[in-house]
Amino acid sequence: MRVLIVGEVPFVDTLAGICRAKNHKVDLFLSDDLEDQAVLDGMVRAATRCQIAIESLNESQSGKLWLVEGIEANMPDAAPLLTSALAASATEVAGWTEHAGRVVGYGLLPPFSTTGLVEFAPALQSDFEAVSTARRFWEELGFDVVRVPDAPGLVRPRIVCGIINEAVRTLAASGISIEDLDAALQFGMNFPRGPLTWADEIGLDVVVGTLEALQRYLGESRYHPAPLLRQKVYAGHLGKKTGRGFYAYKPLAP
Amino acid sequence: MQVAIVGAGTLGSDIAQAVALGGDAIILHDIHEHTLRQALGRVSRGIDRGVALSKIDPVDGRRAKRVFTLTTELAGCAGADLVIEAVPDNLEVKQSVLRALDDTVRPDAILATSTNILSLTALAAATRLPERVIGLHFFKPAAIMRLVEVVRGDLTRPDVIERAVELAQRMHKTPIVVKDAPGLIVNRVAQAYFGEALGLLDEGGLDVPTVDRLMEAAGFPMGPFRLMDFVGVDSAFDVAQTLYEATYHTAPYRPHPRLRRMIDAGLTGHKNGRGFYSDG
Repeated sequence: MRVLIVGEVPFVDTLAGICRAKNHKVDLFLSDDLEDQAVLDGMVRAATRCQIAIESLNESQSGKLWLVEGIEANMPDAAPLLTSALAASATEVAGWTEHAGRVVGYGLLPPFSTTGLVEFAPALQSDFEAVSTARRFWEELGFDVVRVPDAPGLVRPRIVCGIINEAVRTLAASGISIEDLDAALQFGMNFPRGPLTWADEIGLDVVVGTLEALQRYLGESRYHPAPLLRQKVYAGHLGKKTGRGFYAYKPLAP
Repeated sequence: MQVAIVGAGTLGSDIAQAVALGGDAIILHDIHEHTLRQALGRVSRGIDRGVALSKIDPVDGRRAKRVFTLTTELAGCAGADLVIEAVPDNLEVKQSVLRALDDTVRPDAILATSTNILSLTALAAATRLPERVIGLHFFKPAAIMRLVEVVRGDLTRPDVIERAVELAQRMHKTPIVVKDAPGLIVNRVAQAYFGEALGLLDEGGLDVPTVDRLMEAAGFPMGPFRLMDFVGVDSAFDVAQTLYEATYHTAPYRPHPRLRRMIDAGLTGHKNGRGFYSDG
Protein backbone atom coordinates (compact mmCIF):
# COMPACT_ATOMS: atom_id res chain seq x y z
CA MET A 1 0.00 0.00 0.00
CA ARG A 2 1.00 3.62 -0.42
CA VAL A 3 1.24 4.93 3.14
CA LEU A 4 1.58 8.55 4.23
CA ILE A 5 3.13 8.93 7.69
CA VAL A 6 3.39 12.37 9.30
CA GLY A 7 4.37 13.38 12.81
CA GLU A 8 7.00 13.49 15.52
CA VAL A 9 10.37 11.80 15.67
CA PRO A 10 11.41 9.21 16.58
CA PHE A 11 7.98 7.63 16.52
CA VAL A 12 7.29 8.13 12.82
CA ASP A 13 10.73 6.83 11.87
CA THR A 14 10.07 3.58 13.72
CA LEU A 15 6.63 3.24 12.20
CA ALA A 16 7.95 3.95 8.70
CA GLY A 17 10.59 1.27 9.17
CA ILE A 18 7.97 -1.29 10.17
CA CYS A 19 5.82 -0.39 7.15
CA ARG A 20 8.73 -0.54 4.71
CA ALA A 21 9.75 -3.93 6.08
CA LYS A 22 6.34 -5.15 4.96
CA ASN A 23 6.91 -3.67 1.50
CA HIS A 24 4.61 -0.70 1.85
CA LYS A 25 5.57 2.38 -0.10
CA VAL A 26 6.00 5.03 2.58
CA ASP A 27 5.95 8.81 2.20
CA LEU A 28 7.40 10.07 5.48
CA PHE A 29 7.18 13.66 6.71
CA LEU A 30 8.45 14.97 10.03
CA SER A 31 6.18 17.56 11.59
CA ASP A 32 9.16 19.80 12.40
CA ASP A 33 10.03 20.01 8.70
CA LEU A 34 6.57 21.21 7.70
CA GLU A 35 7.50 24.83 8.44
CA ASP A 36 9.23 24.69 5.08
CA GLN A 37 6.64 25.44 2.38
CA ALA A 38 8.27 23.08 -0.12
CA VAL A 39 8.07 20.21 2.36
CA LEU A 40 4.48 21.09 3.17
CA ASP A 41 3.59 21.07 -0.52
CA GLY A 42 5.26 17.67 -0.83
CA MET A 43 3.15 16.34 2.01
CA VAL A 44 -0.05 17.61 0.42
CA ARG A 45 0.91 15.91 -2.86
CA ALA A 46 1.65 12.69 -1.00
CA ALA A 47 -1.78 12.92 0.67
CA THR A 48 -3.51 13.08 -2.70
CA ARG A 49 -2.06 9.73 -3.71
CA CYS A 50 -1.97 7.78 -0.48
CA GLN A 51 -4.11 4.73 0.24
CA ILE A 52 -3.83 5.14 4.00
CA ALA A 53 -2.48 7.95 6.17
CA ILE A 54 -1.13 7.81 9.70
CA GLU A 55 -0.65 10.94 11.79
CA SER A 56 1.17 11.25 15.09
CA LEU A 57 1.34 14.85 16.27
CA ASN A 58 0.49 15.23 19.93
CA GLU A 59 2.21 18.34 21.24
CA SER A 60 -1.15 20.13 21.31
CA GLN A 61 -4.75 19.99 20.16
CA SER A 62 -4.18 22.94 17.82
CA GLY A 63 -1.09 21.36 16.28
CA LYS A 64 -3.00 18.18 15.58
CA LEU A 65 -5.94 20.14 14.16
CA TRP A 66 -3.68 22.06 11.76
CA LEU A 67 -2.00 18.87 10.58
CA VAL A 68 -5.16 16.78 10.19
CA GLU A 69 -6.88 19.53 8.23
CA GLY A 70 -3.83 19.79 5.95
CA ILE A 71 -3.81 16.08 5.23
CA GLU A 72 -7.40 14.89 5.26
CA ALA A 73 -8.93 17.37 2.82
CA ASN A 74 -6.41 16.23 0.20
CA MET A 75 -6.79 12.47 0.68
CA PRO A 76 -8.64 10.23 -1.75
CA ASP A 77 -12.23 9.68 -0.53
CA ALA A 78 -11.84 6.03 0.46
CA ALA A 79 -8.48 6.28 2.22
CA PRO A 80 -8.57 5.82 6.01
CA LEU A 81 -6.81 8.28 8.32
CA LEU A 82 -5.27 6.66 11.38
CA THR A 83 -4.96 9.22 14.15
CA SER A 84 -2.81 8.91 17.26
CA ALA A 85 -5.48 9.49 19.89
CA LEU A 86 -3.35 11.22 22.52
CA ALA A 87 -3.78 14.99 22.21
CA ALA A 88 -7.38 14.44 21.11
CA SER A 89 -9.75 11.51 20.84
CA ALA A 90 -10.36 9.93 17.43
CA THR A 91 -13.93 11.23 17.63
CA GLU A 92 -12.76 14.80 18.13
CA VAL A 93 -10.28 14.45 15.25
CA ALA A 94 -12.99 12.98 13.01
CA GLY A 95 -15.13 16.01 13.82
CA TRP A 96 -12.47 18.25 12.23
CA THR A 97 -12.54 16.41 8.91
CA GLU A 98 -14.61 16.45 5.71
CA HIS A 99 -15.10 12.67 5.69
CA ALA A 100 -15.42 11.82 9.36
CA GLY A 101 -16.14 8.15 8.66
CA ARG A 102 -12.56 7.56 7.48
CA VAL A 103 -10.91 8.42 10.80
CA VAL A 104 -9.88 5.57 13.12
CA GLY A 105 -7.84 6.05 16.28
CA TYR A 106 -4.80 4.10 17.44
CA GLY A 107 -2.47 4.14 20.39
CA LEU A 108 1.20 3.26 20.46
CA LEU A 109 3.57 4.44 23.17
CA PRO A 110 7.27 5.03 22.66
CA PRO A 111 9.72 3.57 23.00
CA PHE A 112 9.02 0.71 20.69
CA SER A 113 11.26 -0.78 18.06
CA THR A 114 9.08 -3.54 16.77
CA THR A 115 5.44 -4.56 16.64
CA GLY A 116 3.52 -5.55 19.75
CA LEU A 117 0.08 -4.51 20.93
CA VAL A 118 -1.61 -1.56 19.26
CA GLU A 119 -4.62 0.05 20.91
CA PHE A 120 -7.41 0.28 18.35
CA ALA A 121 -10.04 2.97 18.90
CA PRO A 122 -12.70 3.58 16.26
CA ALA A 123 -14.35 7.00 16.52
CA LEU A 124 -18.09 7.32 17.00
CA GLN A 125 -18.21 8.34 13.35
CA SER A 126 -15.92 5.63 11.94
CA ASP A 127 -17.48 3.67 9.10
CA PHE A 128 -17.26 -0.07 8.69
CA GLU A 129 -14.86 -0.01 5.72
CA ALA A 130 -12.39 2.30 7.42
CA VAL A 131 -12.43 0.20 10.58
CA SER A 132 -11.88 -3.09 8.71
CA THR A 133 -9.16 -1.61 6.51
CA ALA A 134 -7.41 -0.11 9.52
CA ARG A 135 -7.61 -3.32 11.56
CA ARG A 136 -6.27 -5.39 8.67
CA PHE A 137 -3.46 -2.86 8.15
CA TRP A 138 -2.23 -3.15 11.75
CA GLU A 139 -2.58 -6.93 11.76
CA GLU A 140 -0.65 -7.32 8.52
CA LEU A 141 2.16 -5.19 9.96
CA GLY A 142 2.38 -7.77 12.72
CA PHE A 143 0.64 -5.94 15.56
CA ASP A 144 -1.82 -7.55 17.95
CA VAL A 145 -4.89 -5.32 17.78
CA VAL A 146 -6.59 -4.57 21.11
CA ARG A 147 -9.88 -2.75 20.88
CA VAL A 148 -10.21 0.04 23.48
CA PRO A 149 -12.80 2.80 23.98
CA ASP A 150 -11.98 6.06 22.20
CA ALA A 151 -10.74 8.76 24.59
CA PRO A 152 -7.62 10.91 24.66
CA GLY A 153 -4.64 8.96 25.88
CA LEU A 154 -6.48 5.64 25.38
CA VAL A 155 -4.98 3.22 27.94
CA ARG A 156 -1.19 3.04 28.01
CA PRO A 157 -0.42 6.67 27.16
CA ARG A 158 -2.95 7.84 29.74
CA ILE A 159 -1.60 5.69 32.53
CA VAL A 160 2.04 6.42 31.70
CA CYS A 161 1.51 10.17 31.32
CA GLY A 162 -0.35 10.13 34.64
CA ILE A 163 2.61 8.39 36.24
CA ILE A 164 5.05 10.84 34.67
CA ASN A 165 3.03 13.83 35.87
CA GLU A 166 2.99 12.58 39.45
CA ALA A 167 6.68 11.68 39.24
CA VAL A 168 7.55 15.22 38.14
CA ARG A 169 5.50 16.73 40.98
CA THR A 170 7.21 14.36 43.40
CA LEU A 171 10.63 15.23 41.98
CA ALA A 172 10.02 18.92 42.52
CA ALA A 173 8.56 18.49 46.02
CA SER A 174 11.18 16.06 47.28
CA GLY A 175 14.33 17.66 45.92
CA ILE A 176 15.88 14.29 45.09
CA SER A 177 17.94 13.80 41.96
CA ILE A 178 16.43 12.65 38.66
CA GLU A 179 18.54 9.51 38.79
CA ASP A 180 17.29 8.69 42.30
CA LEU A 181 13.68 9.21 41.30
CA ASP A 182 13.98 6.94 38.28
CA ALA A 183 15.86 4.33 40.34
CA ALA A 184 13.17 4.45 43.02
CA LEU A 185 10.43 3.48 40.60
CA GLN A 186 12.50 0.87 38.82
CA PHE A 187 13.75 -0.88 41.93
CA GLY A 188 10.76 -0.21 44.19
CA MET A 189 7.99 -0.97 41.72
CA ASN A 190 9.70 -2.78 38.85
CA PHE A 191 8.78 -0.07 36.37
CA PRO A 192 10.38 -1.01 33.04
CA ARG A 193 12.16 2.35 33.08
CA GLY A 194 12.14 5.42 35.27
CA PRO A 195 9.28 7.86 34.61
CA LEU A 196 11.66 10.70 33.76
CA THR A 197 13.59 8.55 31.28
CA TRP A 198 10.25 7.48 29.84
CA ALA A 199 9.15 11.10 29.46
CA ASP A 200 12.35 11.80 27.52
CA GLU A 201 11.58 8.86 25.21
CA ILE A 202 7.98 9.92 24.59
CA GLY A 203 8.74 13.63 24.29
CA LEU A 204 7.82 16.07 27.06
CA ASP A 205 5.65 18.03 24.62
CA VAL A 206 3.66 14.88 23.83
CA VAL A 207 3.25 14.17 27.55
CA VAL A 208 1.92 17.70 28.09
CA GLY A 209 -0.32 17.47 25.01
CA THR A 210 -1.81 14.22 26.31
CA LEU A 211 -2.31 15.56 29.85
CA GLU A 212 -3.96 18.72 28.53
CA ALA A 213 -6.37 16.62 26.45
CA LEU A 214 -7.24 14.53 29.50
CA GLN A 215 -7.79 17.67 31.53
CA ARG A 216 -10.08 19.07 28.82
CA TYR A 217 -12.11 15.89 28.68
CA LEU A 218 -12.25 14.82 32.31
CA GLY A 219 -11.79 18.16 34.04
CA GLU A 220 -9.79 16.67 36.88
CA SER A 221 -6.92 18.55 38.49
CA ARG A 222 -4.67 15.49 38.50
CA TYR A 223 -4.13 16.01 34.73
CA HIS A 224 -2.94 19.55 35.11
CA PRO A 225 0.64 19.35 33.81
CA ALA A 226 3.21 19.69 36.58
CA PRO A 227 4.86 23.14 36.50
CA LEU A 228 8.31 21.70 35.87
CA LEU A 229 7.05 19.74 32.85
CA ARG A 230 5.64 22.88 31.32
CA GLN A 231 8.80 24.86 32.06
CA LYS A 232 10.88 22.25 30.30
CA VAL A 233 8.64 22.40 27.22
CA TYR A 234 8.97 26.21 27.17
CA ALA A 235 12.74 25.76 27.36
CA GLY A 236 12.77 23.32 24.43
CA HIS A 237 13.98 20.45 26.64
CA LEU A 238 11.68 18.01 24.93
CA GLY A 239 13.65 14.85 25.54
CA LYS A 240 15.80 12.57 23.45
CA LYS A 241 14.65 14.08 20.16
CA THR A 242 16.11 17.49 21.11
CA GLY A 243 19.15 16.10 22.86
CA ARG A 244 17.86 17.12 26.29
CA GLY A 245 14.84 16.51 28.45
CA PHE A 246 15.26 15.61 32.08
CA TYR A 247 18.55 14.03 31.05
CA ALA A 248 21.08 15.25 28.52
CA TYR A 249 21.77 13.01 25.54
CA LYS A 250 24.58 14.73 23.74
CA PRO A 251 26.94 17.57 24.57
CA LEU A 252 25.24 20.95 24.42
CA ALA A 253 26.42 23.21 21.60
CA PRO A 254 29.17 25.61 22.72
CA MET B 1 27.03 -4.01 63.21
CA GLN B 2 24.51 -5.66 65.53
CA VAL B 3 21.10 -5.19 64.01
CA ALA B 4 17.97 -5.96 65.97
CA ILE B 5 14.65 -6.57 64.25
CA VAL B 6 11.51 -6.27 66.34
CA GLY B 7 8.57 -8.19 64.87
CA ALA B 8 9.35 -11.44 63.07
CA GLY B 9 6.40 -11.58 60.70
CA THR B 10 6.82 -11.72 56.94
CA LEU B 11 8.36 -8.25 56.68
CA GLY B 12 10.61 -8.65 59.70
CA SER B 13 11.95 -12.01 58.59
CA ASP B 14 12.51 -10.81 55.01
CA ILE B 15 14.44 -7.80 56.30
CA ALA B 16 16.39 -10.10 58.63
CA GLN B 17 17.36 -12.30 55.70
CA ALA B 18 18.72 -9.34 53.75
CA VAL B 19 20.60 -7.96 56.76
CA ALA B 20 22.13 -11.37 57.50
CA LEU B 21 23.29 -11.78 53.89
CA GLY B 22 24.99 -8.40 54.17
CA GLY B 23 27.21 -9.79 56.91
CA ASP B 24 25.78 -8.08 59.98
CA ALA B 25 24.67 -9.97 63.09
CA ILE B 26 20.95 -10.23 63.81
CA ILE B 27 18.96 -10.15 67.01
CA LEU B 28 15.48 -11.21 65.96
CA HIS B 29 12.70 -10.37 68.42
CA ASP B 30 9.07 -11.33 68.59
CA ILE B 31 6.67 -11.67 71.51
CA HIS B 32 5.76 -15.17 70.27
CA GLU B 33 8.29 -18.01 70.25
CA HIS B 34 6.55 -19.89 67.49
CA THR B 35 6.68 -16.79 65.26
CA LEU B 36 10.43 -16.67 65.81
CA ARG B 37 10.79 -20.31 64.81
CA GLN B 38 8.63 -19.78 61.72
CA ALA B 39 10.72 -16.74 60.83
CA LEU B 40 13.92 -18.71 61.02
CA GLY B 41 12.41 -21.36 58.75
CA ARG B 42 11.30 -18.71 56.28
CA VAL B 43 14.76 -17.13 56.22
CA SER B 44 16.44 -20.49 55.79
CA ARG B 45 14.17 -21.43 52.89
CA GLY B 46 14.65 -17.99 51.33
CA ILE B 47 18.42 -18.34 51.47
CA ASP B 48 18.28 -21.88 50.06
CA ARG B 49 16.13 -20.67 47.16
CA GLY B 50 18.56 -17.84 46.48
CA VAL B 51 21.51 -20.21 46.47
CA ALA B 52 19.66 -22.64 44.16
CA LEU B 53 18.97 -19.75 41.73
CA SER B 54 22.64 -18.71 41.94
CA LYS B 55 21.63 -15.34 43.35
CA ILE B 56 23.29 -15.98 46.69
CA ASP B 57 26.80 -17.27 47.18
CA PRO B 58 26.59 -20.55 49.16
CA VAL B 59 29.32 -19.41 51.58
CA ASP B 60 27.41 -16.18 52.30
CA GLY B 61 24.24 -18.21 52.65
CA ARG B 62 25.73 -20.59 55.22
CA ARG B 63 27.25 -17.73 57.19
CA ALA B 64 23.97 -15.77 57.12
CA LYS B 65 22.04 -18.64 58.71
CA ARG B 66 24.43 -18.67 61.67
CA VAL B 67 24.28 -15.00 62.69
CA PHE B 68 20.85 -15.11 64.32
CA THR B 69 20.09 -14.63 68.02
CA LEU B 70 16.42 -15.07 68.89
CA THR B 71 14.70 -13.37 71.81
CA THR B 72 11.20 -12.76 73.15
CA GLU B 73 12.49 -10.06 75.52
CA LEU B 74 12.97 -6.51 74.28
CA ALA B 75 15.91 -6.31 76.68
CA GLY B 76 17.59 -8.79 74.36
CA CYS B 77 17.98 -5.90 71.89
CA ALA B 78 19.94 -3.74 74.34
CA GLY B 79 23.26 -4.28 72.58
CA ALA B 80 22.04 -3.43 69.12
CA ASP B 81 23.66 -0.65 67.07
CA LEU B 82 20.53 -0.31 64.95
CA VAL B 83 17.00 -1.56 65.55
CA ILE B 84 14.38 -1.96 62.84
CA GLU B 85 10.82 -2.26 64.09
CA ALA B 86 8.55 -4.33 61.88
CA VAL B 87 5.47 -4.53 64.08
CA PRO B 88 1.93 -3.92 62.69
CA ASP B 89 1.56 -0.61 60.81
CA ASN B 90 -0.49 1.17 63.47
CA LEU B 91 0.53 4.48 65.06
CA GLU B 92 -0.09 3.54 68.69
CA VAL B 93 1.54 0.13 68.38
CA LYS B 94 4.64 1.53 66.69
CA GLN B 95 4.94 4.48 69.05
CA SER B 96 4.78 2.22 72.09
CA VAL B 97 7.44 -0.12 70.66
CA LEU B 98 9.69 2.83 69.79
CA ARG B 99 9.28 4.27 73.29
CA ALA B 100 10.18 0.92 74.82
CA LEU B 101 13.22 0.65 72.55
CA ASP B 102 14.17 4.22 73.48
CA ASP B 103 14.59 2.98 77.07
CA THR B 104 16.37 -0.22 76.06
CA VAL B 105 19.09 0.67 73.55
CA ARG B 106 22.13 2.94 73.85
CA PRO B 107 21.67 6.67 73.07
CA ASP B 108 23.94 6.32 70.02
CA ALA B 109 21.98 3.40 68.59
CA ILE B 110 19.74 4.07 65.62
CA LEU B 111 16.01 3.35 65.72
CA ALA B 112 14.41 2.65 62.35
CA THR B 113 10.74 2.28 61.55
CA SER B 114 9.70 0.12 58.59
CA THR B 115 6.34 1.83 58.28
CA ASN B 116 4.65 1.87 54.89
CA ILE B 117 2.20 4.69 55.59
CA LEU B 118 2.81 6.45 58.90
CA SER B 119 4.68 9.71 59.32
CA LEU B 120 8.26 9.28 60.51
CA THR B 121 7.98 12.63 62.25
CA ALA B 122 4.94 11.50 64.26
CA LEU B 123 6.70 8.29 65.23
CA ALA B 124 9.98 9.97 66.13
CA ALA B 125 8.20 12.59 68.22
CA ALA B 126 7.02 9.82 70.58
CA THR B 127 10.67 9.15 71.53
CA ARG B 128 13.14 11.11 73.65
CA LEU B 129 15.87 11.22 70.99
CA PRO B 130 14.15 11.89 67.65
CA GLU B 131 17.47 12.78 66.02
CA ARG B 132 18.40 9.10 65.94
CA VAL B 133 15.08 7.88 64.53
CA ILE B 134 14.78 7.19 60.79
CA GLY B 135 12.57 5.31 58.39
CA LEU B 136 13.69 2.30 56.37
CA HIS B 137 10.95 1.67 53.84
CA PHE B 138 11.31 -1.70 52.14
CA PHE B 139 9.24 -3.02 49.23
CA LYS B 140 7.43 -6.30 49.08
CA PRO B 141 8.96 -8.84 48.95
CA ALA B 142 11.62 -7.23 51.13
CA ALA B 143 14.13 -10.03 50.74
CA ILE B 144 14.24 -9.45 46.98
CA MET B 145 13.23 -5.90 46.03
CA ARG B 146 16.32 -3.73 45.82
CA LEU B 147 14.97 -0.36 46.79
CA VAL B 148 15.02 1.05 50.32
CA GLU B 149 13.69 4.53 50.96
CA VAL B 150 15.85 5.83 53.81
CA VAL B 151 13.63 8.42 55.44
CA ARG B 152 15.00 11.40 57.30
CA GLY B 153 12.98 13.67 59.54
CA ASP B 154 13.61 17.35 60.17
CA LEU B 155 15.64 16.51 63.24
CA THR B 156 17.54 13.46 61.98
CA ARG B 157 21.33 13.70 62.39
CA PRO B 158 23.25 13.32 59.11
CA ASP B 159 25.63 10.67 60.49
CA VAL B 160 22.63 8.51 61.40
CA ILE B 161 21.52 8.61 57.77
CA GLU B 162 25.02 7.75 56.59
CA ARG B 163 25.20 4.66 58.80
CA ALA B 164 21.76 3.55 57.63
CA VAL B 165 22.72 4.01 53.99
CA GLU B 166 25.86 1.93 54.56
CA LEU B 167 23.80 -0.84 56.13
CA ALA B 168 21.40 -0.80 53.18
CA GLN B 169 24.31 -1.07 50.77
CA ARG B 170 25.73 -4.04 52.70
CA MET B 171 22.28 -5.62 52.35
CA HIS B 172 22.74 -5.33 48.55
CA LYS B 173 19.92 -2.80 48.41
CA THR B 174 19.74 0.49 46.53
CA PRO B 175 19.13 3.14 49.20
CA ILE B 176 17.58 6.47 48.31
CA VAL B 177 17.48 9.13 50.98
CA VAL B 178 14.17 10.98 51.09
CA LYS B 179 12.70 13.52 53.44
CA ASP B 180 9.61 12.57 55.37
CA ALA B 181 6.56 13.48 53.28
CA PRO B 182 3.24 11.77 52.53
CA GLY B 183 3.86 8.81 50.23
CA LEU B 184 7.63 9.49 50.14
CA ILE B 185 8.55 8.78 46.53
CA VAL B 186 7.33 5.38 45.42
CA ASN B 187 3.91 5.18 47.11
CA ARG B 188 3.08 8.64 45.82
CA VAL B 189 3.89 7.82 42.19
CA ALA B 190 2.25 4.40 42.58
CA GLN B 191 -1.03 6.20 43.28
CA ALA B 192 -0.97 7.44 39.71
CA TYR B 193 -0.42 3.91 38.39
CA PHE B 194 -3.29 2.45 40.37
CA GLY B 195 -5.52 5.52 40.24
CA GLU B 196 -5.41 5.94 36.45
CA ALA B 197 -6.14 2.26 35.95
CA LEU B 198 -9.13 2.39 38.32
CA GLY B 199 -10.38 5.59 36.68
CA LEU B 200 -10.25 3.94 33.25
CA LEU B 201 -12.66 1.26 34.38
CA ASP B 202 -15.21 3.96 35.22
CA GLU B 203 -15.51 5.01 31.62
CA GLY B 204 -16.81 1.69 30.43
CA GLY B 205 -15.70 -0.54 27.59
CA LEU B 206 -12.58 -1.80 29.31
CA ASP B 207 -12.07 -4.74 31.61
CA VAL B 208 -9.41 -5.54 34.19
CA PRO B 209 -7.54 -8.20 32.16
CA THR B 210 -7.32 -5.94 29.08
CA VAL B 211 -5.76 -3.08 31.05
CA ASP B 212 -3.29 -5.46 32.68
CA ARG B 213 -2.45 -7.02 29.33
CA LEU B 214 -1.71 -3.61 27.80
CA MET B 215 0.46 -2.47 30.71
CA GLU B 216 2.34 -5.75 30.75
CA ALA B 217 2.99 -5.30 27.03
CA ALA B 218 4.40 -1.87 27.92
CA GLY B 219 6.97 -3.60 30.11
CA PHE B 220 5.43 -3.78 33.59
CA PRO B 221 6.00 -7.23 35.12
CA MET B 222 2.54 -6.92 36.67
CA GLY B 223 -0.34 -4.85 35.38
CA PRO B 224 -1.94 -2.46 37.89
CA PHE B 225 -4.74 -4.80 38.97
CA ARG B 226 -2.53 -7.86 39.32
CA LEU B 227 -0.16 -5.70 41.34
CA MET B 228 -2.94 -4.45 43.62
CA ASP B 229 -3.95 -8.06 44.24
CA PHE B 230 -0.31 -8.86 45.02
CA VAL B 231 0.26 -6.06 47.54
CA GLY B 232 -3.28 -6.51 48.85
CA VAL B 233 -6.26 -4.36 47.89
CA ASP B 234 -6.56 -3.34 51.54
CA SER B 235 -2.93 -2.28 51.60
CA ALA B 236 -3.36 -0.26 48.38
CA PHE B 237 -6.41 1.40 49.91
CA ASP B 238 -4.59 2.19 53.18
CA VAL B 239 -1.78 3.88 51.28
CA ALA B 240 -4.23 5.88 49.17
CA GLN B 241 -6.36 6.85 52.15
CA THR B 242 -3.31 7.92 54.18
CA LEU B 243 -1.96 10.01 51.33
CA TYR B 244 -5.36 11.65 50.82
CA GLU B 245 -5.73 12.50 54.50
CA ALA B 246 -2.12 13.59 54.93
CA THR B 247 -2.41 16.04 52.02
CA TYR B 248 -5.64 17.48 53.41
CA HIS B 249 -7.74 15.96 50.66
CA THR B 250 -5.69 16.92 47.64
CA ALA B 251 -7.90 15.74 44.78
CA PRO B 252 -5.43 13.67 42.73
CA TYR B 253 -4.95 11.37 45.71
CA ARG B 254 -8.59 10.63 46.32
CA PRO B 255 -8.99 6.86 46.79
CA HIS B 256 -11.28 5.12 44.36
CA PRO B 257 -14.59 3.94 45.88
CA ARG B 258 -14.15 0.58 44.18
CA LEU B 259 -11.30 -0.28 46.57
CA ARG B 260 -13.48 0.37 49.61
CA ARG B 261 -16.27 -1.74 48.13
CA MET B 262 -13.91 -4.61 47.38
CA ILE B 263 -12.53 -4.56 50.92
CA ASP B 264 -16.05 -4.54 52.34
CA ALA B 265 -16.79 -7.58 50.18
CA GLY B 266 -13.66 -9.38 51.36
CA LEU B 267 -12.00 -9.14 47.93
CA THR B 268 -8.60 -8.20 49.28
CA GLY B 269 -6.58 -10.10 46.71
CA HIS B 270 -3.49 -12.15 47.25
CA LYS B 271 -4.11 -12.83 50.89
CA ASN B 272 -7.31 -14.76 50.26
CA GLY B 273 -7.17 -15.57 46.57
CA ARG B 274 -10.03 -13.27 45.61
CA GLY B 275 -9.48 -9.70 44.50
CA PHE B 276 -9.54 -8.24 41.02
CA TYR B 277 -8.83 -11.81 39.97
CA SER B 278 -10.00 -14.97 41.68
CA ASP B 279 -8.03 -18.17 42.07
CA GLY B 280 -10.03 -20.95 40.52
